[in-house]
Order: sequence, then C-alpha cells, then structure tokens
Amino acid sequence: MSAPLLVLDTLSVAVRAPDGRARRILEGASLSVAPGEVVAIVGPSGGGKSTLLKAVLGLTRFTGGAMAFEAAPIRRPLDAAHRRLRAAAEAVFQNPLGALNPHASLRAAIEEPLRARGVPRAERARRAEAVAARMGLDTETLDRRPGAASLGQAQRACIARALAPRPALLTLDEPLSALDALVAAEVAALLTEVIAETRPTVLFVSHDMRLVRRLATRVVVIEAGRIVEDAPAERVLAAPQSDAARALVDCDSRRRAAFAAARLIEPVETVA
Amino acid sequence: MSPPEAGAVLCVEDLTVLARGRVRPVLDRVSLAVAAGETLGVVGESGSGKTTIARCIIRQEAPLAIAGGSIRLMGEELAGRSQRGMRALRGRRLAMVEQDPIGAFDPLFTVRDQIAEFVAAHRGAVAAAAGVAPAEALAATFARIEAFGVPDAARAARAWPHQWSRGMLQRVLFALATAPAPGLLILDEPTAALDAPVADRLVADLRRLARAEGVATILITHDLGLAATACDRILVLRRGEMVETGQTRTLLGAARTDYARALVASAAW
Repeated sequence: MSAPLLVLDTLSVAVRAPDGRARRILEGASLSVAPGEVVAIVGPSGGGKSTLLKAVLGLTRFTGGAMAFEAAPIRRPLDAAHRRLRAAAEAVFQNPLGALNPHASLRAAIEEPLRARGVPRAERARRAEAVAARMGLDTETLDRRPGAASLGQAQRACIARALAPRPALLTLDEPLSALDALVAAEVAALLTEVIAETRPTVLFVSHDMRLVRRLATRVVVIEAGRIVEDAPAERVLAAPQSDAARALVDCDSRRRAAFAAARLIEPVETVA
Repeated sequence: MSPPEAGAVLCVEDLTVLARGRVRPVLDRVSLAVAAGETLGVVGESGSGKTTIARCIIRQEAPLAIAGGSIRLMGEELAGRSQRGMRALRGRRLAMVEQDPIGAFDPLFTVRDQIAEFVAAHRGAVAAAAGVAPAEALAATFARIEAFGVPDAARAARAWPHQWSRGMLQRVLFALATAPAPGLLILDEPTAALDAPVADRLVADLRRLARAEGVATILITHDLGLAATACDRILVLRRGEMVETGQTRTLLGAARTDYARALVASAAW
C-alpha cells in the first residue's frame, strides 16, 4: 500500500444557521485516499457529500479536524499546504454552464489550467487539443463559447479542462446529472475510458449507481453528515452494510433486473 | 399492438400543438390511450414534448395552442372545453403531480392549512372515495397521507412547507392527488427532485394503489430506469413526434426504431 495522497482526519464543517446555532453539515469524517484510487461518495441528498468535496477543495471552510495532502498537514483552511492541494487538484461540477466563463471559448477554458501552471503557449495548445480530441471535441467545437455548445459538449470540455494538467487529484460532483440520458451515457463512457488511461486519483460524488459501478474502486457512504460505510467498491455493491448503501444498491438492482429481463444486460446477481 | 382504446380512461388522438412564431409543431399528431389501473410511461429527452402532453390534458397548455386532435377523458372531449368547465374536472376526475413539491405549496401557509383547503374544495369526492361522512373527510385524508409513509401526519402538518423534506411533501401531494379517486393521474417527473431509492419506493406505492383503485396513470420521466420498473407500457417521444410505443418489456428488449433502441441502451449500463 503506497503512502496516502489525501488524508481527512475527523474533518467537520459547521455553519451558523439563521437562528444563531451551529449546524454540523459534516461531522468527524476520516478518510485516507491512496494514489490511483477512485473513490465514490454516495448517500442521501443533504447528507454532506458535496460539502466534503468542497471542504477538500477549500470552497467551503472546514471548521474542525485536519487534512493532509502528499504528507503535508493541512491544519487550517487555505493554509500553505491546502493551497498546494488546490494547485494540484482539478474539479468537474454538475452544471457545466455554471462552471465555464460564458465569454471564453471552450478552447480557452481547457487551456486555462495549463496557463495557470506556466505551460508555454505552443505546448498548451497542443495538449489542450489532444485532451479535447480524446473527449470527442473537434477544433470547430473548441472555438465555440459555452452558450453555443450543447450541454454535453460543455461538460466534455469541463472534463477535458480538468484532465489537461494531469492533476494529482480530480474531483467530480454529480458530473452526469444535468445531462440527458443519451448524452450522459456518452460522457460516462468517455469518462470511464480517460480515467482508465490516465489513472488520476479521483473523488467523485454521484447518486447514479451505474457510474459508481463503472468507475469506483472504493465507495464511501455519507448519511446525515457522517461516514457510515467505507469499503472496496465490490464489497459495498455486493453486500452493503449501511441502510443508505442498501437502499441505493437495491434500487440499482431493481432497474438492472428490469433491463436483464429484456435481455439488455447480463442477468443480475442477487444481493445477499 | 394497438393501444387499449376500448375501455380507455384517457384517449388522446392526433394531438397537434403549435407555438406562436414557430413552424414546427411542439406536438405532431400524438396519440395515446391509458386504461384503468394501467401505468403508461412517456419518455424522451428534454424538449421532446413530454410535459406539453400533460399540460394539454389538464388544459393549461397556454401560451401554446392545441391546433388539432382530440383528448377524451372517460368519453368527454377536453380539447375544446372552457377553463370553467375544466375546473369542475381538475382535482376530481384528473389530477397531476409535478416535479417540485416545494413549488406546489404556498410557503406562507402551514401544510395543514393547504391540506384542509384541498379537502374543503373536494369534500364530497374525498369522503365518497374514503367511504366516510363528509365531516370525516379531513381525518380520512390524514389517514391516507400516513398510509403514504408520512408518520404522525396531522401533527407534522402544523409545520410550514420549508420545514418538510421534499420526499415527505411529495408523499402528501400523491395522497391528496389520489384522495378524490380521480380516473386519471398524471405524474410529470414526480421524482426528479428525490433520491432514487426514495423515488422508487414512492412510485411503487403509488402504482400498487393505482392498480387497486383502478386509476389510469401517466408517468412522464426522462429516467428510463424508473419507467422500466414502474410502467406497463412506454411511449417514446422525440421532438414532438411519437417514435414508438409498446409493452415495457417489448420496448426495452425489442424496440423497432433506432432511436428507441439508442435511448434504451443509454439507460441500460
């Protein structure tokens, strides 16, 4: 087992509610992520999944506990070690139109993280086009602004942008849920391929168990602000322990059973 | 494979809908029929016209305009009916539950006030459906809401809508929509705001009830996985046109059109 890339040590996020009381959104989350792991974070809405991602990225200030990135302790939000994590991480969000500058072309968006890392112009253009091509975006599409692109093209550009600098850590927050089924299936297939090829360390939030089945090496279940299950993906999918995981796996199994009955997919193995 | 026209609760034929300033119809000669106790899934991508079908049936299609075709509910034509005439049917003969339960409640009144208002508006039908005296209609409705999985409903309903979870509010709406025993229930992405396990349970509860009480149900969804588990038949819509319709298993396993096959393949992975 290699040294962990990212460690969360009893990480908590509390916000002050309008009535003045502190409300804990994330409570004592501990997690250790090894390089190359693909960790799915699942659980009911409002449980703290996205908050965990945001706290890791420094988009939400954690209020308790600590983190470590590449063995450097992160004691306070946005301290020097946390800023190094941010510089090494890239994020994909749910709504691509909210994540892209409406005035900049998709090409400029994909080049941006390379520019921020000081990659020379020619190299930048070459790498951006290569990763865009991998995500199925041709040069004509790259010259479009987000508003002139389809939602699927915009999300593929966001994924290309995140992958272009070969980040040490990639986070994805519900990357498919804004997309129509046909587009989502296409993006999921591309995402699966590029993650298998480039092997980044991934933390992703999804309610879509199909994506979890495809991508995750490990599944973390969060419910009511707490991590209630953390195990290798095969184990959680085959024998979920928490109520939240069982509900998700059962639901996925019912759908797969309906598809299997129509011989669209292989028969589903029954869950113990 | 003709739709069950005979004995259909709802029969839509060649429904064509136009938008001002657009040549291409929003719906182009769409036909469907739903029988008592049956659930018909209407699936398609964003902009395919799914919600427009629902809006036309409840006759809240404005600013779009019905340009042709007929919509018969238990033999009565709705396509030319006045809004006053529709008001007598909405809630009682046909009911609709939409995506966002928060938007269905007035934030300035407690949940209880709004349940009471609904019962007052449909007291006779609610009481008759529950088999109780009109004075007992509200109590029977709370019992019904509890049967939909809302514990201690009468007490909980003293709270404001924002204090409720979406899933619980949606249960209240399902219970209310079905309380006057409408012949037709339209669900327009009823679970899009909910987690999949909650959504599945809710739709399964509803389907059991619809079968038991003989309600014809239209389930509009972009989630073919949900339609696969919850519908007897499925209609595939694309850019306002019917692509294909068939028994759920047939449509999933042996779709005749490339588009329906692609849509199915995009969900089954």
